[in-house]
Amino acid sequence: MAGTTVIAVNHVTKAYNSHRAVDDLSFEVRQGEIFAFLGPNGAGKTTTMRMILDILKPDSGTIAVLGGPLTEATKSRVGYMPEERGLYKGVPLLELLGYLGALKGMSAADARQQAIRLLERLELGEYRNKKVSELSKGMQQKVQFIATILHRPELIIVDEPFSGLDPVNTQALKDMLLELRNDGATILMSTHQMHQVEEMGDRLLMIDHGRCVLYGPVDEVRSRFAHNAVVVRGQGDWSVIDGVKRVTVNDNGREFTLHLADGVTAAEIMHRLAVSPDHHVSSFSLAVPSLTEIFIEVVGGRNNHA
Amino acid sequence: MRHMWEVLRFEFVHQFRRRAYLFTTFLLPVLVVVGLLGIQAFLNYQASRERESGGEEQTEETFTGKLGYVDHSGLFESPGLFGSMLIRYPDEEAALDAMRAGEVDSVYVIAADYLDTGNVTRYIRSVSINSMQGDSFFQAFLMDRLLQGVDRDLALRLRSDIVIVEHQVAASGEAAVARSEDSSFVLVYVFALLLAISIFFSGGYLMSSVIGEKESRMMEIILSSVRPLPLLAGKVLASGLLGLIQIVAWVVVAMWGLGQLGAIIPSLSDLAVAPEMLVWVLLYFIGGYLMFAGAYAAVGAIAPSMREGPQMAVIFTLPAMLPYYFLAIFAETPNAALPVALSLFPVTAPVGMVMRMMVTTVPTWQLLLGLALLLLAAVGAIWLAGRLFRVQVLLAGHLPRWRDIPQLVRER
Repeated sequence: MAGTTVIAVNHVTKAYNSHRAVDDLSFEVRQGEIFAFLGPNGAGKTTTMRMILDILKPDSGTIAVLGGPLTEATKSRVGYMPEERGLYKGVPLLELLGYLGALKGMSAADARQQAIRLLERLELGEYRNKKVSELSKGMQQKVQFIATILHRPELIIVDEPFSGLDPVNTQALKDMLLELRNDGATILMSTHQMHQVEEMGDRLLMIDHGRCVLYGPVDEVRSRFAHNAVVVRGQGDWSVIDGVKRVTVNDNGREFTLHLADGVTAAEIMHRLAVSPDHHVSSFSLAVPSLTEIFIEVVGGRNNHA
Repeated sequence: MRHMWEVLRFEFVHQFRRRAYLFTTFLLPVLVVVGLLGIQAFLNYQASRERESGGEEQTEETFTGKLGYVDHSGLFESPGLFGSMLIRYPDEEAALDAMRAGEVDSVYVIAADYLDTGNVTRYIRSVSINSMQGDSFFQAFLMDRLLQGVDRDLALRLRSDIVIVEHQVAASGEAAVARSEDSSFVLVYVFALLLAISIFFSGGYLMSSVIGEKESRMMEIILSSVRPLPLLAGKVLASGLLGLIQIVAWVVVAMWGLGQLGAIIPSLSDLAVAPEMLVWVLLYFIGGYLMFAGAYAAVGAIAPSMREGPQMAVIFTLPAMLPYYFLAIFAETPNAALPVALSLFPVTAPVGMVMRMMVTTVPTWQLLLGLALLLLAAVGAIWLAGRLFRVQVLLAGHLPRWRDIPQLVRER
């Protein structure tokens, strides 16, 4: 099944009055991957996700989910956690989860059983009969995550799943997402936390002003933005090495980026450093930019032009 | 369909268990009735104490003093049955002396030509309510004496007040029976108020449930599973059911309570609400509820928070209560042009028609026409709510401008 298209967005446009929130956007999400959906605030991410979920209708273009247009039946195979968090305040957890499960077509018994299992799993078992208003914000967010995956969806769409969570709960959620992916679920995740994408994401899409600006496997995108440079740690005057055009000190002051002249490879530099008696190298790596840097470069650059 | 039932079930259970609902639906009427029973028990207690201290039973009116009389006509030689409170004196002098001495409160002097003129002179010590009540007591005595020897039934009839049943003849020629005024006023007031309160309460629940879902940010999660229309339908039906239960509970308690009140206010004791009238009341409740539910849902859809919702709802709740401002006209001339118009116009019909039904027999064609118009308006209101109950509006988070609303309604 791996590689099957789960979401196919095809030349989709959506405008609010004269403002184009999504502009001729096309991409696909494949079975069993964690697909990261990136972009600055107001880029059109939420609108796109709402169109995938058939909450909003596109002005033009087509969207296929789980093999066709989203129907009532396929909706039950999708789980969605919107960015704006909220739950009925005065309702006990089990009852709330039972209702949301029922809306997804679960039987009362199944919803209850599954809710208890997931609440236990996320250490909320003792709160099962408590009202939402009695929970902390972080707990409420975990409950919302449970509501999203309660009905064992094949496609999980989560908008900023980690925002507002402490590191322990972030890890717990991350583990569950990875586990769900390993069990065959497809995950579309919108986030601003680039290191999460680097750690978890298989492929990514970055949009800005409703248009696609980056799209592809995470590693490939990063290496595409790699400049001809290496990052080293150690002692010595790095600028005297043949082929090094320029040296910059990295943020922490212990690392140096050596920008290489055209035609010079990293392997050649490594060789020269290894034989040089004046240099002592404790670490050597290719300078692959972080997604944050790429994000700032791509989005910041575009906005400066705009 | 499945979604609608799930929404209906959840909303119903969730709202039903609210303390405010349980209180207003079940506890409040019980408290009212307990209060009424308390009043009744107190009055009974007072009455029994009065009887104990008063000793003898009173005749006719609740007149408590003693009267003296002097008869020049020769027709009223003895006080007869009225002897316990009437003393006959041979002449004015003796009678006035007795009055001055405090033996009697007032003195009536029956003229010699009483049979021709009906002239009676009354002497009093001071003006009081008692002396006025004395007049009717004395008149009852005169009547009783004059009717000596007359056929018992005839005497009884002559002594009783006439019973007036008012018939108002409408232009169409149909006659409508009006009930006595005292009781109708109370009924009109109580029933129309119950109906209006219940409709507005249920509509209010509906509106707050929609706005609450927006405020708590549940709306987007729900909308990822349910389309807006089944969501709207489930909510409307759940609130309607809650309102229906509420009004049935209130009517049951109100009817019983009126019975209890009847013991305190005698004019209420003969009240009875015909079953077919209850059916019409129920139909108007349902029609009225659906219309206002649509309006409340439309407001819920566009109002961004609980603060704006009720303010906006005033647009239709205020006119709906219009018949109330003309309560007197409804009770006195229920078939005049204004009450008829207000009972047919959909916004005012649920309150207006029920008010008329309580005091008069509304012609069937008017009941049907009013209901048809009401249902038509209900369909229109629900349609409007359905047009506004859409994602752009529900997830907007701000109030649309008034001039944008027609466009929102028209949009695909």
